[in-house]
Amino acid sequence: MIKAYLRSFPGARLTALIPAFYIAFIVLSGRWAFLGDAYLTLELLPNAFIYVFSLVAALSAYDTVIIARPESSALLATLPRGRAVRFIPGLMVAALSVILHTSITVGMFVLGGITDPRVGWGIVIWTVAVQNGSFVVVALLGSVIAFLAGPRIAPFLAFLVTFVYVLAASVAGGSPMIRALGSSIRQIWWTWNPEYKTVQSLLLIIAGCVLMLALMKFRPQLNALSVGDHVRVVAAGLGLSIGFMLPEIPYQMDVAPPPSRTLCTEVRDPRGGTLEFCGYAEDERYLPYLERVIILGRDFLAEADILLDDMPTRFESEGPDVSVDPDPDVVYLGLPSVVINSRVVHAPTEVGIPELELIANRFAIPPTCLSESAQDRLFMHDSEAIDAYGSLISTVFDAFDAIDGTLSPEDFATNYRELAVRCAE
Amino acid sequence: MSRGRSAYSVLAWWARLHSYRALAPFAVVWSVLMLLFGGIEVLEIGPIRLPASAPIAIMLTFGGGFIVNYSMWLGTNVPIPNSRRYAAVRVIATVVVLICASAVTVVGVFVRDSDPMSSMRNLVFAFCAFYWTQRIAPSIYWLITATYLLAAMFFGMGDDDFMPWALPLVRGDSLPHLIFTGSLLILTLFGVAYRVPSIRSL
Repeated sequence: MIKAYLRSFPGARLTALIPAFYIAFIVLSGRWAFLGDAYLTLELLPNAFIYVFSLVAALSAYDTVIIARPESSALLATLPRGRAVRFIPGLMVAALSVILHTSITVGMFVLGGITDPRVGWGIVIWTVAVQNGSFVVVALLGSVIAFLAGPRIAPFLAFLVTFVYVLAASVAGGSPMIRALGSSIRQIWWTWNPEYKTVQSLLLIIAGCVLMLALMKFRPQLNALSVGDHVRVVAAGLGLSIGFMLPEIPYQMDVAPPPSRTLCTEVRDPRGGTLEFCGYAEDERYLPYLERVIILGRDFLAEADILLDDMPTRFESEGPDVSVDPDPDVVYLGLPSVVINSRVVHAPTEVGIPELELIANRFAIPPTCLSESAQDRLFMHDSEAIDAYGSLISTVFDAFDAIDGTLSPEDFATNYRELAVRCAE
Repeated sequence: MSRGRSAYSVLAWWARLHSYRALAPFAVVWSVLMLLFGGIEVLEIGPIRLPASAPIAIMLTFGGGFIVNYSMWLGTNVPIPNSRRYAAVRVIATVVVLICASAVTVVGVFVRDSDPMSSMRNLVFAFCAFYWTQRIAPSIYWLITATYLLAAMFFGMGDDDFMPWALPLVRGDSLPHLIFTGSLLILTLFGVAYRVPSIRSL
């Protein structure tokens, strides 16, 4: 029976594009190897929502027009519950997308080995449920459009309307109902704001009900909308736009208790001595790459003859405390971006200028300059400090013939120490 | 019957054969979106961070291309007359709708003094893309073209600009772009004259 359904309704078959797009996104963004925490795992797929939601609406419309044609309506009128049939194509596309989305999410949890998420299982399940609820609402939106527009136009019209709606809802000042904004870096010190989730769930339920009520009453494709149809269209539009009138609610909040750097390891320095790295429990999967990043960064400086004895030998995973109160004896590494972007993961021999930029930023700048107060005080107004900062970075680049006019090793050392003092003031 | 009178009746019959009425809701929705948002420049579209700010019109013109392509469909199952005169009228009707869509695009974009060349290039390109995908896969041509646009947005990012294959997102005011789009348009109009795409979409 399912086989027969898929043969008759091509849109349901085409939901196979959803996992294809997801997997392309996960693989091409290079993050598939680093799914260690629940927040990033659940915020990664929403990056692709603007396409996937539009696709679901279009496919739902594509299948519903088969029901909405005048020819079909004459046939369906003879069935005992012919009116309910119009929900089937949309809800079928929604059900298939929910199954695919949930299985990929579960697969990512398994891949990341997440057994005890810091944010708690309750909000994880709630987030997945809300994401799946959005699929149902956009599928219903597609079905409604299938009853309003001509059969050949409806699918693409549904795609375009959903694209613009999702885009408008996701920008600042938009609606909390649909959120197509994901995260691409890890923020293990954040969790989702339950207030936002409550409002989002309520809005989704309201929109779903309004769309279903509107869908129930349409007369199929008579090429002329009645007064009642217009009322239903306006009601559905209002149901979808309630969220735009609400004040903005913060999406995330700090996770309690705040995470601490409990994972420590020693890195052997080829120049003698040991370097130390401390990170969060979620950093465990970065450890094999971290040693390479740290040695690589120090090698760059040593080759340029600017590796100073008083540069810190302790490395830490970057956290929210960096912008508030950075430790002058610690180099902070912004994980996972420093690992992913430095290509040491996938192609360790091809480390070039863009990768250097990240590492140079971390190694050649005094850690105290990362604090927000130093950034505001020095790097917004003080042109002398900006020049000093820039010359430190370009000196590192100079080792690779990227930029001319840089400092001698002695000047670099003086510059580094002066800037460290000024930043710490 | 004079020649002018005859040409007029061909055009009138052509307009009757087409379901322009079904096109109306789409054209209205698209024009409103274009006039409201066409000139807005964005730097980020959801997760996609553009190398430089680009008008939303660059994406929305795909709706215009769909409208132009749709305008040549027959609303009935009347077989297409195989004569030069009908071919000429088909091309004229397509060009007229293309000019109307261009006017909406230009107004929408110029209101905020954005980048009109890229938007115009994309309108023509989207029309050609819809036309040729419809010749290849009539039932899901809209899906192919829309997926191409979104794939360009998601995966077309190079180091500091978009890859050449992600054409809709690349700035369109360079000479090779104009030559490419112009030739594609001429080729497509020859295609339109030769054959209307199939309506086997349902």
